[in-house]
Amino acid sequence: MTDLKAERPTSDATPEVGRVARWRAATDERLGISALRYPVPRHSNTVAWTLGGLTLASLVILIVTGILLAQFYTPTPEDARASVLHIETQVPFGSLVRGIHIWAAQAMFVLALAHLARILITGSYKRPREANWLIGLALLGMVFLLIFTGSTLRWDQEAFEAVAHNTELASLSGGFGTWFTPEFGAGTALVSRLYLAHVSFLPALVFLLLILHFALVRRHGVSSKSNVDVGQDEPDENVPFTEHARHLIGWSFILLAVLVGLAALTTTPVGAAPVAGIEVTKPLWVFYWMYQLENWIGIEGLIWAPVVLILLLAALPFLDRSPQRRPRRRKWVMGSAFVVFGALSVLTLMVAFSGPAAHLG
Amino acid sequence: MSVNHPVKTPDSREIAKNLGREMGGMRRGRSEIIGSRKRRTVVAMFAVAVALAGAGVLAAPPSALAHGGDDEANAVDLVEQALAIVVNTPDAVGEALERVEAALAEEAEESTGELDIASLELAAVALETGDLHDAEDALVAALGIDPHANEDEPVEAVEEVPIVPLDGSADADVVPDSDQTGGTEDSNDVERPAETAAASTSVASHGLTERVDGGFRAPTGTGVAALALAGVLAVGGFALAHSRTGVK
Repeated sequence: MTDLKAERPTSDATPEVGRVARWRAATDERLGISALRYPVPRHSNTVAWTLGGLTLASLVILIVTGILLAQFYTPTPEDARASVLHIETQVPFGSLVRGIHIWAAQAMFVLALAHLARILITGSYKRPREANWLIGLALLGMVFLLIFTGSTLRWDQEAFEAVAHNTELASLSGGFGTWFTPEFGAGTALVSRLYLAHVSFLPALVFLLLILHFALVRRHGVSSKSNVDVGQDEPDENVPFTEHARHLIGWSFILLAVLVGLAALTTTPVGAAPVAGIEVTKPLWVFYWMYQLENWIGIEGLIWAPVVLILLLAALPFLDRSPQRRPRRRKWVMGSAFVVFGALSVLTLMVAFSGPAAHLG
Repeated sequence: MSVNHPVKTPDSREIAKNLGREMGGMRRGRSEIIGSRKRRTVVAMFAVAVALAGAGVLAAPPSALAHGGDDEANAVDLVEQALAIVVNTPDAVGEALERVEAALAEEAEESTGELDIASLELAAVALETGDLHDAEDALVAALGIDPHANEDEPVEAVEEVPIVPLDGSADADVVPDSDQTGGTEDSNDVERPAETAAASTSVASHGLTERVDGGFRAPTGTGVAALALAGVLAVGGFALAHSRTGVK
């Protein structure tokens, strides 16, 4: 009798569990969710190995806030700044959403750089991941272009001076710069075309590159820690990818919380109406290193500096071909990276502590 | 204990088989060499094609500059530049004063009637004494704009006027006279950002100098709610990130 009583609750609970299990099985049969439980090494759930995912999370936040902002933005020279001021002062939560958008853009840049630094330090660009390293660099370039085009859209003095640099660079680039010239689409204002680039083909290119990036990560697997040389087996135990996804979503929420907090506690600037013939502003800090080079070597520096930097980074996997991944055994790579990063930091700080300069004459 | 393997003499069939295998290997080797040569040729041709295309694109005639660096600025432009300097870089008062003095000199030489000279003189005095607030107001007034007009009124739509964007994308040639700026300006002479032209005719909440300065702000209603949301997100995110295995 006792045994039967003890069994009863279990038998009552079983149909519930069965229903959930059946629902899960039915869903999985149709959507193939269990395919996401593929194995990834346990160290994927560390912050260093989550930076790439957090960069993606920033992009998602940017897309959502960007769609909201686009409902109130007018991409024409005569109305652009007024519409941004309208978003800041009249649209409910407009200032907050714009703040999140601008902080998220900077977060994406910082996270992408941190992700690149992790790949570089752990030697994860080595065979067979050279192609993915190059795709990652292309993505970083896209982030740069997205930030640039975004910074021109508010059409204040700073934005206007950025566009003036843009057209000057287009001129210097000859045929390569054709798209950036006002003459390319004479019937459409340049700010409208920059907006179009910001919301359409640049994000489309980012998505295309991201698909390739993730496909190659899936093919090669998550990179090992730096104590595992190229060709050695992964010693770390595996966890299902769903666990890593949960970890990443958790950190994404924390990132969003930081961005919301920053947006709530700060105002994002909109400058005065633009006036031609003067250069009285500095760009966003992301471009400071280029700005300092422009101070020294003229506007040509804005072309050559990024090209040289990208070429150096692109060449890395083809120059450093040893199987060793420990930073201490790759002294020249780590030394060079330190010098380059240090130089970029110094250039950035120099502009941060100096006033604006005229470059266009 | 040694094992004696029986010595096997290859018969003719086996010799032929081995020979065939070796010949096949040689053929494969030869085809690999030819293949690698072909690949190298293709890569070289591709590189040459890319280089030629690049040179062609680079050699294409560069586009004209869109901004008017070489254009002479008239008095109105000088005052607008001075205003922009005051608003954007308060440290550069000297540059603003230079422009105001140049504008005064131009107006003294040949008055266009587009500027309020009394206000411009007030601006010069304010700049000399370093009173940027008064200087900004006086410069705005010199341009024929009341900085405090419609201050408390709701946002108005910016008046539609024919404009010449700085990027040269519009066909309009002339920025017409307006009640506030006075006079007619031939915008072919001076390139001005389109919005400046539009704003000059409708200085409500979206005037020349209206701006939002960056910096910290004390959270109010929306801000407090946002901070509360941030707290919830942070706690939830932390719990999710550390569930099961957590961060190692």
